Amino acid sequence: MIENTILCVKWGDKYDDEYVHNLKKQCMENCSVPFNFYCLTDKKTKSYDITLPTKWDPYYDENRGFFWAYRKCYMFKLNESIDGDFIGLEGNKFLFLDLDVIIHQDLKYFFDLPMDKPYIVRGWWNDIGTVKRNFSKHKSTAINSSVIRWDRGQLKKVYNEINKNAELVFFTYPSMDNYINHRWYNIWDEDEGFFRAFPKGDIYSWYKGNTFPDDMETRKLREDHKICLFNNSNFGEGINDDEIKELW
Amino acid sequence: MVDYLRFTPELCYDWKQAVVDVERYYPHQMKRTLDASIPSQLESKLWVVDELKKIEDRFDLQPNIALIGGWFANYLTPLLIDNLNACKVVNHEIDNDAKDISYKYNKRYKDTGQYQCLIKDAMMKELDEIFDIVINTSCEHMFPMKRFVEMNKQTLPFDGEQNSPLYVLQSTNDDQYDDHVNCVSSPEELAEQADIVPEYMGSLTLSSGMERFMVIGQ
Repeated sequence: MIENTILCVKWGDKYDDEYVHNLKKQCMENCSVPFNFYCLTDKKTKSYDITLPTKWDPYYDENRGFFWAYRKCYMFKLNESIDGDFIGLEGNKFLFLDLDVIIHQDLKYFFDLPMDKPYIVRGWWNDIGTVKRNFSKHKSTAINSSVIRWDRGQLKKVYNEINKNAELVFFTYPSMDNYINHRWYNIWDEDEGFFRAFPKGDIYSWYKGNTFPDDMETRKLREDHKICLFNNSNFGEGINDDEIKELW
Repeated sequence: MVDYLRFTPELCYDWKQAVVDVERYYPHQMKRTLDASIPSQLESKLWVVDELKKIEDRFDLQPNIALIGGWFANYLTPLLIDNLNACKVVNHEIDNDAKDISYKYNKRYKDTGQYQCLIKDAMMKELDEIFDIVINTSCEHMFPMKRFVEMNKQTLPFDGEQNSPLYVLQSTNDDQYDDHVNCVSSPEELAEQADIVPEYMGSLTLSSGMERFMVIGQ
């Protein structure tokens, strides 16, 4: 069995199939170890597609939680054993990638990380003072869930908390990133959180920069980094398609 | 009537030191400490204590009091200790900076064990101890209190009946702020949201122009 598994999630119409094809292509070109590739989706059409569950749909209010990519959180369910919701999904070492990323370097790096804790993107481009000042207002989130690395079963605790408290979680936190920032990361003592952050120099943002305050130039490719994200809280996902497609 | 805060030399010293320390160690929180110090913040906390004072016979002579999302607790802690003889005020916060800064404003009470701040999301897990009074003056910022009330019902050991603390809840209908995620239109709606039987319900227009609602009940 191949241990390494790359996952992406696609639902609705914001991203077309081209994004999934391109992500898979980028993974094949930039991963020197064998890997499984799956897309968790609401519209299963390809052999690598796996159907997303729908049980949290009643708790999602588009008007208040427009950015709540809650469907991503289903993948945290992946348990030690084969799961009824994800039959056929193999592997033990998971790397989740958003559909709108550019991969610069070998993804083997992510599968070789020491896994005493799962990893998530810490937006090093954020001013930590602003993050702390706005913490209780549920704004200026330091965490970004565009890339997550975990071993099978490692995120079950997160899934269980969401599943048990879905109404509260989707009401209280304006986004998945904000939820993780509050409940599973510690911005006051970054070594103490449930998640560990990918270190500076691994992942940067096309629209927000790299590290605050010294390297904040936007719309700049940094090919010595591993992954470029296209997160932008100022407009809806998928709207700036042309910019990323030009860079593919 | 409770319409002022006792400005003692000890309070003066702690507050002066809080300002110095925030400027030095927490400059990003400077504006928020100013926001927490405006007249309307004091008005709404005086209202809490004034109404509780009228029903003092309803709770213990030295009540243990929980604050939910009490922020810096700069006004409420001294008001509760000075006017209601609170044995202990325990603030439940999610913000580490708020905890640290609240200890600066209330250092004299922290040192005597009368003020404590815990980092805890009170909507996720029940409180660690039993309180006589639970005060939440920021209900507009969070999920309806019914969940909290349900989670913190106490079962009395001698007759197995369920008991609950006295709740003091404030909210507003002012929905112009992003973080006012749960505004209500009346004190009745606030009581209904919390599923408590109100003994007091009222409205107050603060000097800032904001209308606030308060409910006291169990």
